[in-house]
Amino acid sequence: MSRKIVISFDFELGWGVLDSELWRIRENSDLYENLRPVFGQLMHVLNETEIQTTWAIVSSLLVESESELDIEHLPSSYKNDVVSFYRNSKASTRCGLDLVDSLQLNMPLIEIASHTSTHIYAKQKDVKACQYVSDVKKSISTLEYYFNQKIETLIFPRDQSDFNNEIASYRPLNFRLNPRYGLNMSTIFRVASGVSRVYSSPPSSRVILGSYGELYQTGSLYFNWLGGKYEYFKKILVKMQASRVLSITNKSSICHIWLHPFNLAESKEHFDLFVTFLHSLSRLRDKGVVEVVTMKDISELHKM
Amino acid sequence: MSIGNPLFIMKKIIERHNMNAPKALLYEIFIRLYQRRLFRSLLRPLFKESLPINVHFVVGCYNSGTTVIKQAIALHPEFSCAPVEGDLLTSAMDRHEQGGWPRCMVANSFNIVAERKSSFFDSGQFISDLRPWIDNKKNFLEKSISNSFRVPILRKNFPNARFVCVTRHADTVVSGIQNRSNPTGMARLLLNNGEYPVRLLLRQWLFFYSFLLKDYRSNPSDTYVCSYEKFILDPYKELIQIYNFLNLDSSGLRFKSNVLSYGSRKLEVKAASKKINTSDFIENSEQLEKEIKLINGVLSRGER
Repeated sequence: MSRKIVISFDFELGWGVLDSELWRIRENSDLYENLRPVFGQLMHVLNETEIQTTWAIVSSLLVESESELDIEHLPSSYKNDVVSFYRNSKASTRCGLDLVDSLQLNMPLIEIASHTSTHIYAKQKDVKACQYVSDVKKSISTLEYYFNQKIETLIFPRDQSDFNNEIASYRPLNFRLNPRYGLNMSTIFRVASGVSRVYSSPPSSRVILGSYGELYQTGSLYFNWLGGKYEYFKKILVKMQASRVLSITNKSSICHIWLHPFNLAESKEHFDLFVTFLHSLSRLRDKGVVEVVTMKDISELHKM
Repeated sequence: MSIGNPLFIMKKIIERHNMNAPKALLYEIFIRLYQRRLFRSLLRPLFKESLPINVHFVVGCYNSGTTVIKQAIALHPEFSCAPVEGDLLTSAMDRHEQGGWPRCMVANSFNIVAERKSSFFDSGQFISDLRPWIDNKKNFLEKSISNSFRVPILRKNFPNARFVCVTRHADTVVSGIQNRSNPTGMARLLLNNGEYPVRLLLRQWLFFYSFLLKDYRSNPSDTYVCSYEKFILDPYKELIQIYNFLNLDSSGLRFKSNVLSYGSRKLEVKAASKKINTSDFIENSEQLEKEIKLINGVLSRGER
């Protein structure tokens, strides 16, 4: 059994931050416009290297007009935010149909997963379990109809998994969890944990079986240094950690890397590093050192 | 006396080791220290390494009665055994309870399946680590719940080994685990509950006995299926059957006033708290398969 590497993308454009001013700031900096050519290049590299990836899509990215928005299930405050975001954002910020088309060209290598319908997150004020589950159900039916494949994976928006059992009782999916899930970390501990990554490898992804037969897979490395504090330090860390991912020798380990596609449009250095990483990975895969698999593939391994 | 009371704990320690108070306390401290890898490496050289005549295993789900059956078998003078589960005392075996899942290793079933597929077991390490309890003039009896998944690799490493597979009905197994153990840390958070859900524990029962049935069918001659219910109803008769299966002389076995004895070794077996019918017994592969199908039916509703 060789080492497994999973790469998952949270594909959300402006939907991921629709209830803040962040989408507007990113839109004004042309981030979502700049993503288009970068996305095409990424698809080209994925196709060339034949690397399999999991794409968790906010299904409202497939909406072409406001009348198509299915948001009656949402709590009123978030519903208002969705409408406001939809009306005030540019098409490139809220619609991903053009990107999805290029994603489909790589289809055999891609697992389509859900990132909910509207990127509602569990800690959003007023959201109830039934509303969250409705959002997940709508996303799954939309994605299954559009891509004509069964959705078996869900990535929780903002890694907030509060309604995991309610979703699992509806459908026992594969879920991705934050590597620090369950750890109540203070700021000092978080900083110390960050510093420790200077000398330690990214954690192995843990795979846990839940009550309904659902599987939880923890992430290992967020492949991004942009945004937030300590950007320079984070950049060094990501480079070191990415290089370690390629050199881990434990054959039974699984490493799960995740990022947003738009992260790659934020800096050319970032995109180049990721492309170099993909090429190195494909070489290791060709040598039989690693297997690059999707989250769904991991769940298949669980079967007896 | 409450469970947390030091006197109650001391009484339990004395009962467990069948020694006077100071000796029992010292022995308990030794066992606790020996469970830690560092102390184990320091203490191990104090004991001479030797090979037992043979190694036999008691396997079965948590709370299925494996401990009492191991203790009963170990009454025989030709047996030695460790005072706690072997996987606590050796680095050769993973206990598979990490992440806050005491008595619920099914949550880590991904690792279990991976371990089973890897077919690796360091029998030298196992024998070396358990040397304080191994006698080269006796058979060694090992009981670790995690061994229920290792039958094929144990067969390979100990070709003359015999297995006593303890079965018990799923409902009593589930309620017993719920009474004795709770999820902690990450597990508690994932389950959103301070108690294990019945569904997860039924899944665990199924997981254990599906493996055990499969392994039994691949070589029925080295495995004795022992119904816990049958043992409780008539411990003497069932233990004689087990001794016969293990090719041991049972002429010295006695049973009086709920106490099994063989020479100076004694074990009190609590009588059944409720009426047991012979139809409750799971003592062959057909009965086990029937129960597996029943539990599968309960779980399959609305699941993958």
